[in-house]
Amino acid sequence: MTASGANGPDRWRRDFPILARELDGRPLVYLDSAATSLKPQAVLDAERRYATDLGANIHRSQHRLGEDTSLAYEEARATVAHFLGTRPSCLVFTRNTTESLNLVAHGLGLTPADRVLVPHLGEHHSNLLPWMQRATLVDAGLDPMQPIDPQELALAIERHQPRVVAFGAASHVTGIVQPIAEVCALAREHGVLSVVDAAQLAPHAPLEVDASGCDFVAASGHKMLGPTGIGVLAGREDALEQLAPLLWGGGMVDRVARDAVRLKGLPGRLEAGTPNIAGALGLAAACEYVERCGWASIAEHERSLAFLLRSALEAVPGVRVLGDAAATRVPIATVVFETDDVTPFMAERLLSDAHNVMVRAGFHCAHPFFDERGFTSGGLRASAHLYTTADDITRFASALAELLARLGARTRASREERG
Amino acid sequence: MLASTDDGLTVLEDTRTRVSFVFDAPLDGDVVDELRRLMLLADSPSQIIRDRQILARAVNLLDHGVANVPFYRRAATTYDPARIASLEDFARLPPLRKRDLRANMPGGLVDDSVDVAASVARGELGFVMTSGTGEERTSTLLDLDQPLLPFDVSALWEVPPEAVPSRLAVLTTPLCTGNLCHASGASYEDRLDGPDCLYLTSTSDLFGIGDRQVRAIASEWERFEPDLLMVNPHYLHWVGRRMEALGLPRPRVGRVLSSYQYLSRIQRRAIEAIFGTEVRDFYAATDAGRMAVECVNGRMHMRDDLSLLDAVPAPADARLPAGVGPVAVTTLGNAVAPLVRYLVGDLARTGLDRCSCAFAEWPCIELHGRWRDCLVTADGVRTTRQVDDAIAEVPGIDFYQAVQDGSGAVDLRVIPEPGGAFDPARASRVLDALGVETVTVRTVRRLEAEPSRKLALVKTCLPIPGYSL
Repeated sequence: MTASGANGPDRWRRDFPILARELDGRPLVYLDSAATSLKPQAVLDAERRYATDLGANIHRSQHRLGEDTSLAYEEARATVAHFLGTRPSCLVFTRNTTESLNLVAHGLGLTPADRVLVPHLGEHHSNLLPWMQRATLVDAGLDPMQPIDPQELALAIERHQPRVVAFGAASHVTGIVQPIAEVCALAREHGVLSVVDAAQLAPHAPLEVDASGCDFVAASGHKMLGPTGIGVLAGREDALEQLAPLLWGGGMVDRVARDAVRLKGLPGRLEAGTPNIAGALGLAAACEYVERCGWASIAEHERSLAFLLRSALEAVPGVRVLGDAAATRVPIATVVFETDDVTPFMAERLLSDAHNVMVRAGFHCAHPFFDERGFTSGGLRASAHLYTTADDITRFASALAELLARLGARTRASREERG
Repeated sequence: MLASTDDGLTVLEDTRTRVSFVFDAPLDGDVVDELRRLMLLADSPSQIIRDRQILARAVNLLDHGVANVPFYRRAATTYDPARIASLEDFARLPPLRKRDLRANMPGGLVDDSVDVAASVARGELGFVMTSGTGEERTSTLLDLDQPLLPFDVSALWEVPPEAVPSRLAVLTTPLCTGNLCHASGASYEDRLDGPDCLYLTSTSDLFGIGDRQVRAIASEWERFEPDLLMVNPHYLHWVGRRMEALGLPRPRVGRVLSSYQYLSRIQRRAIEAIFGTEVRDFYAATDAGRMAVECVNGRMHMRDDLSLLDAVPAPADARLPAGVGPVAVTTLGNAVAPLVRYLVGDLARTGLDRCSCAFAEWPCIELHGRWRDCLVTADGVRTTRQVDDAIAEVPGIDFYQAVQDGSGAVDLRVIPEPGGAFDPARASRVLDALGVETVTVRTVRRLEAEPSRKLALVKTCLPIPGYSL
């Protein structure tokens, strides 16, 4: 079965109600999935099911609805854990990747005496700020336009002796996929904890958390066809056991006395308060949906999307596509404009209004990356998902080319030539 | 356009701008007769001269559009200048809608002989984007050199030439294009736009600003010493009340220019009382430029220097007040991205009596607020202006918002005037008189702004008959 056949994108697209929406009578092209993916009907149904069929809190009440809700929530955990290649007890529901990474940074009790090594400053702010707030952030100085070179990273680990190595599994700017297992093994060899920001990889490839050998893996539901406000922190059991809770309150304890508290075991002790139950159910439905589509079919389709995205943008005059063209990538690409006259923000708005193409302009939560390269206007990012078609990408590239040509965008060099 | 003088000719660039030429010899009598026949002499009725001038400029714009702008070129038959012999003919051209603007910017509605990038880089043109959402959302390219006020504003406002404002401060809505504008986080120096313009705009919710921010606004306003303050009237009114409550002296300003939303009679009254200055209304839209300005007589005059406005006859099912229709603007002052009869989203009445002010030739327009900001009653649609005129008669109201739910009932939320005596029953009666069957009147401490942070005086959840932009 091919990706374009009965189980391919044409079929998948019909599962996403929003893709039937027209703006000004024209279909939309959604290429902002790296910010938030669209949701299939199955996810919407699962979220609705909580409100219409369940409705109670979890792990508290013994009445029928309470038990049904608790069961559904734990079934959701099991489904998501299976999807991510780990055990339910090693999967903590959080709000999103950001909260997961903050949970690790806080839970490890890091102090400024602890160094946290990142491969470069092209990491997402969510994988920089939690470390900057509690520990000493160290930049290994690797090239963010290239995949991580494990040998160079090993040298940096030896030089800086960090307590933690934290890296994005796939870049939210370039789409470049990192050698996760190699990096995590390297960290383990050096006695360093590994933290993987999988926000951009989890939507596009199976993570196999246990097999990867990583200590902590964080992901967001809303980027992987699930609802907003639900994310996960998964990892090795003994690593998770090291974490102190980020929040304290109901639901995380076995017993509280005047001067003592006995916490639940994993994962409950890291989930204080009433969780996002509808979100968990929706995320589980998203995982099941992806499994029904099949990773093989998705991978085949998204490989071609990633290639097409890159090649189509490289053909647009006046832009530069970021990242090594030869690297393995998820279907995310960012361009910077070789002109000061047209900004990505302007292009974003005009592409939306005139062509119904939804892409994202800005600094993409990577200010140091753009600042250090002098990309003062930021970049324009297009990001696809399994519901994206080749036609979507062609329409985007064509519209961008038309827009830049229409605005008379001149490169810095050509402007100088013309005086 | 020409007008005669005793010793030569006066060229009227528009009805307000005259350049005189003196000749050694008298003009040939036949020439004078022909000019008189064409009603181009100064002794011709000035309104006819104005109409001919405006028509000539509108036809020139069409000529230009059909030659240089793809959207009009594609519809050259419709926009054929040869078919336009009068302003009435012009007013029969199809209106341009917001969706047309979205679909054709910049691809179809920009002069394709213009190097847009270079003009943008030189600061002559700029992309502007509305803060509206959904079908209100638009972007366009504007000539950034458009004058804020018309030439000879001293005559319009009957002030000495030396009193014409030159230092502008701006206190408007805090949102830019759906994203928070971070201007208030910047320093005073960063918010200066050249030496003569200061942005006091805040990122904060109007009704949530803290004492420190009120003091900061007062302090910077005093420091800058503007002689013109361009405002969203809700913002200035609220800031003024907060300054009063904090016991701050009100900063001085020569004149307040109200823009960015319908100016309520209550707001005008309150601002004039709080700040001891007069308020002039100003009609502009991000996507259409400057369209009208208020004269010394309190009447709104179309900005003939920049725009041609007409009120499109309302569709039969719109059930609007007699003579009120959607405003169509033709941007005479924007040849790069000309809009021909663009429905800007507001309602107005045109065809009014002439004003007696110095700008008498510039026709008056009676604004009725945004089309979507109406109440729907069994007797027809009530515009913002109608509702505001009624509520303004009720003493003791400082701020209000009339919100109609899906059943047609209106919830009138009122912040009473400090020290005023507000009678809810009277407020209810004035809405009854407008045809609203069920009215609830509540006093509140704050009002809810739109996502754009503008604050509609009137809102309805009912579909507005005939509404189409």
